Amino acid sequence: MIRKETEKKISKGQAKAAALISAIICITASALAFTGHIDGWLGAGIVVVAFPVFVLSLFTALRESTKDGDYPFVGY
Amino acid sequence: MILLYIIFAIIVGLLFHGIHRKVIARIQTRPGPPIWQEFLHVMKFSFKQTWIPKTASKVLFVAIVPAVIAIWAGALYVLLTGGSLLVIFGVYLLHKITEHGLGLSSGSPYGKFGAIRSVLSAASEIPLIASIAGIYFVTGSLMISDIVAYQADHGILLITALPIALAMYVIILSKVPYSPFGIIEAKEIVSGNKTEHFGAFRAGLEVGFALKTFVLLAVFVTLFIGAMPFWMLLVASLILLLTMSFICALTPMLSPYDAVTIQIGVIIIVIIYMAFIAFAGGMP
Repeated sequence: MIRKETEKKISKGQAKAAALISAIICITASALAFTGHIDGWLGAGIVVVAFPVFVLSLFTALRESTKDGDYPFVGY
Repeated sequence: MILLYIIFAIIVGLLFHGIHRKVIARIQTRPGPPIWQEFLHVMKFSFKQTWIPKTASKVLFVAIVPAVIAIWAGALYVLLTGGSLLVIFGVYLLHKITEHGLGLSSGSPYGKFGAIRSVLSAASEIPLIASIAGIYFVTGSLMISDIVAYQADHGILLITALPIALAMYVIILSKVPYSPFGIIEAKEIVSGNKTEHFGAFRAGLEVGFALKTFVLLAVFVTLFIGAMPFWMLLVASLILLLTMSFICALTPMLSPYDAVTIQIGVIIIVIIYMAFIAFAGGMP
């Protein structure tokens, strides 16, 4: 079966930026909720939305490149 | 801080999954993986190549992963704040929808079968409704904080409402890995609804499922044993998980028909119990 790569390329740089931004949002919302500057439910809501984005973008940033490697051709 | 709780729950959930696998293996006289195997899985998947299959619905294929994490993070917040049990029920329903979406999003026949089986296993939601109704019958409230307070005055629900606890136990058992009710991810359909989610997506899913396991175990302990120090909650959750590990190790995977039949049987037991307390003891 021929594998066809059809992913819309998200560069590692973009994924890292998304991970960083979502992490900052999560930490900020948690801290503001903890210190009472915003309601607890609001802080939790922001974290609930931003944390999964952080997780997925972090793992996307860590992923292996999908470009084929330079495999030695042994011939047949 | 909710963020710290979420991260802690993920770590503990992954550890629980590892302990679960280890106990199953040792009961089956196998060495089993180390208990930190699930951490290694998450790292392994995150470092692998990631792509979206050609037949997949791209938006659903990607969005379903953060959805799984988000709903259980929300459920954790509801549990920590003593919120409504109906929200936990809603999250459980949403998880069923994500199971369905996982399988159907990829276009793979294995995923499709997993999604179809997730519809069949939706029969487990009926014992959940029955157990929630039973809890309301006994305690008069669906707020977790009220249920905990009720137990402080009237004794733990694990003893006073044992059939309801058993119903909830079956529900949670249906959601742990390698469960006899685990028809969705059965090996004869490769990995079922998770088959085509690999790489970063699979790592995200494992994180979400770890969160799910932690939340479900903690919900059971809180609802049926009551308030306790956090370390005791962890110990009680682990003991609860170990009982499920024994069941998972010693029972084969049920056929979809048998899984639904058993869950319907659990509903009948809960309904009979509620009828008994309604006519004999009266509702609060």
